[in-house]
Amino acid sequence: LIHFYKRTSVDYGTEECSFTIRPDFAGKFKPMQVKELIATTLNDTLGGRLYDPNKVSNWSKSIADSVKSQVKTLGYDRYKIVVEVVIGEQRGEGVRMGSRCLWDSDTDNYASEVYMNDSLFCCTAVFGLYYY
Amino acid sequence: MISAEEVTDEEKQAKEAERLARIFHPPEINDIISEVITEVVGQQTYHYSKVGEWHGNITEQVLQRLVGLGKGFKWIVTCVIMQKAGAGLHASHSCYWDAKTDGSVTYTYDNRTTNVVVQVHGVSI
Repeated sequence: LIHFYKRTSVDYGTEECSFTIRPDFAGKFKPMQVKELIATTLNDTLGGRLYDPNKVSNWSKSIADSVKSQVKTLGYDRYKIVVEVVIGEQRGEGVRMGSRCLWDSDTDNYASEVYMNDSLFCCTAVFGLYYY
Repeated sequence: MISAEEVTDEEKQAKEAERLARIFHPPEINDIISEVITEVVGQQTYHYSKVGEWHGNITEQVLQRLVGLGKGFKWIVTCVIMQKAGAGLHASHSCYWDAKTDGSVTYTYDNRTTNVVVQVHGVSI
């Protein structure tokens, strides 16, 4: 499958009509880079903390917002970003989390990471969707 | 003889139906998710060997039905299934998209032994 796309000069200062329908290889969503970012954020926010029902909702919101704003700084133009965070208490119960997506597998991708300590677990997934 | 008022009512309904067929419409997505979950999990008891199957079935069937709606959206369906053991769970999401055209729906379901949370995000093309 051959993709033809016009390479335009990217100028972040002005808005111009670019007619690109595919990102260049350098501008594609890179799961490994985002995965490291998520891992650092989770360790910083939750490292050594105990599950506290009053604070957990704030933690989950702040992790989601912080991961989203950090991914925005990575410079993925034309990508829409969805970040999902699930934090739960560790009581030995069974949990399963996963997702199915309908997207363009050439351009879209996801990154996910799990953080666990003795009292809580946190699963974060970031989805990057190209906007044509 | 059709009066002027009747025609405009029908036209209005037709236009409304056409508009709903194009946009992200939470109620119909909620209906899809609730039907799929009651069909797949229903009142069954949580068992670690069945969870994988339930999870796959729920996400795949919801996705297939969303595709069947024929809208111009990319879909992400996430499902969390948890055993009821008195533990707490918080789910949140943060999105960078066009708020006029894109949207998401979160649906929770529980029976005596299981908690299920399904999130659907629709991103317009």
